[in-house]
Amino acid sequence: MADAYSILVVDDNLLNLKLIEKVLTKEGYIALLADNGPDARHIAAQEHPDLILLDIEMPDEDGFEVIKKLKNNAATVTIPVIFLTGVSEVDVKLKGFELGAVDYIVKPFHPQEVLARVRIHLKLSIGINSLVQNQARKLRQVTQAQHAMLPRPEDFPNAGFSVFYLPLEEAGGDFYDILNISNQITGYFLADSSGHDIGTSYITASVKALLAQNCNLVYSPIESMRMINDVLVEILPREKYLTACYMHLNRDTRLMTLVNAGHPPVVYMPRGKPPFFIKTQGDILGMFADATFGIKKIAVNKGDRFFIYSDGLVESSEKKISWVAGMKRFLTIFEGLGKSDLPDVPNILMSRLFNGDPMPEDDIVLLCIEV
Amino acid sequence: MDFHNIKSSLGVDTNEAKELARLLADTLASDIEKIRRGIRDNDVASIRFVAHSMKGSSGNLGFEKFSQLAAIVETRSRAGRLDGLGDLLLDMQGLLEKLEDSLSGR
Repeated sequence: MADAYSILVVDDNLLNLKLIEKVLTKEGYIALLADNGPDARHIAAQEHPDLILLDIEMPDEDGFEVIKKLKNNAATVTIPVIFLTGVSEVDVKLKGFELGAVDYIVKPFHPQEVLARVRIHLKLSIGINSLVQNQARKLRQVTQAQHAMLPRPEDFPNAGFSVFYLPLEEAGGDFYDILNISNQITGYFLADSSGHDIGTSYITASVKALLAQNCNLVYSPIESMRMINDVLVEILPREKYLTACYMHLNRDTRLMTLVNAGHPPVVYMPRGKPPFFIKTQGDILGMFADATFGIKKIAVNKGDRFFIYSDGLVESSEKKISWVAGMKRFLTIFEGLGKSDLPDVPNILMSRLFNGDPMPEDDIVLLCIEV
Repeated sequence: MDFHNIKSSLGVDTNEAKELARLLADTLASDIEKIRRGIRDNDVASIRFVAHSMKGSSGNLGFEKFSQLAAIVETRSRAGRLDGLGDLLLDMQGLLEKLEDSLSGR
């Protein structure tokens, strides 16, 4: 048997309460009764009824006052309220609607009208709840799909990387990928897509497919990025773009090639030496057909470490920290990290950076790579 | 006013109709007394409030004649007019007595 719906009836007139109670209980509803505003609000917050029938004209706290308080309380804001009013003036009805009522019933009312309006608003409420749950379910699926697309270090034992990934919303705008180009060559890609909606997660999937197609032994790293850019310019909506960083590491020749597309600078920490930024200029991905990207080639040694990250790690609009201002402090958190085990490094960096403070209001990806 | 009207009007059984009618009769008797006091004290606001309540509760149980009388009292008090309310109260009292009669099987 399905759970019975509960209706809170609020009226200072005992007879009206009794009458509506009888009508509702006969139809299988649970009737909760209150003959004044404060009691009604208390019951609404405690019992969370499916609907409220609220009289306007009550002594002390009237129905307008009650609905204002109900709509200001997170525990009761979503409960639909139908006004019971003996006043048929338009202004009164409009005021009720403005304060958040879904409907009104003019007194004297016929019990069948009360039942009909209760039924229709319960149906609407059920429909809205179902829509919300459906959307939440779809977003959860997107999140799961997005997480499934993100490579884990244990799946790429030869890639020598560790990662911290925290999407702001269900469908994060930041993502990364690891590409096994050959036994000796690994590609590391990190991008920050504009927006955090479901569309963004489709971009993630598209870019992942483009990386698989274009990051190979045939194309140089800069050629791979140009190919991907050309396709993205064609397929992305006008307002969408990505900042990205692609690191191409040949562990045999010990040559690292870095391609930057409008992304924050990579931190390079040669083994036993202090960290520094690899600064390269470049256009963003997916916006310009004739984009030029920054490129840097560095001869590296075993044990050197690279850190690629999204701007959410440094910026904070709440604290008014911009990317440029945040970077000055940022480099100091890498000091002494050369001795820590690679899998531990992301969490050490995060705790040093935020030191118990709340996380920033953006996606965060931090990719730590060891040669 | 006959409490049996409630049965047909609301689709309830005799006992329920009687229970509601009893409650209505007691409420209206108390409300009529409050209006009398309001007239005596020249308290227009409380007359209006009580008449409004009477209008709704009697109308909800299908006693339209009583509800109409209460509506007149409400309208007049809203306009600040207390003249003639005494006669209206007598009419109300008469209807209420008929309800009491039906409840006691007379």
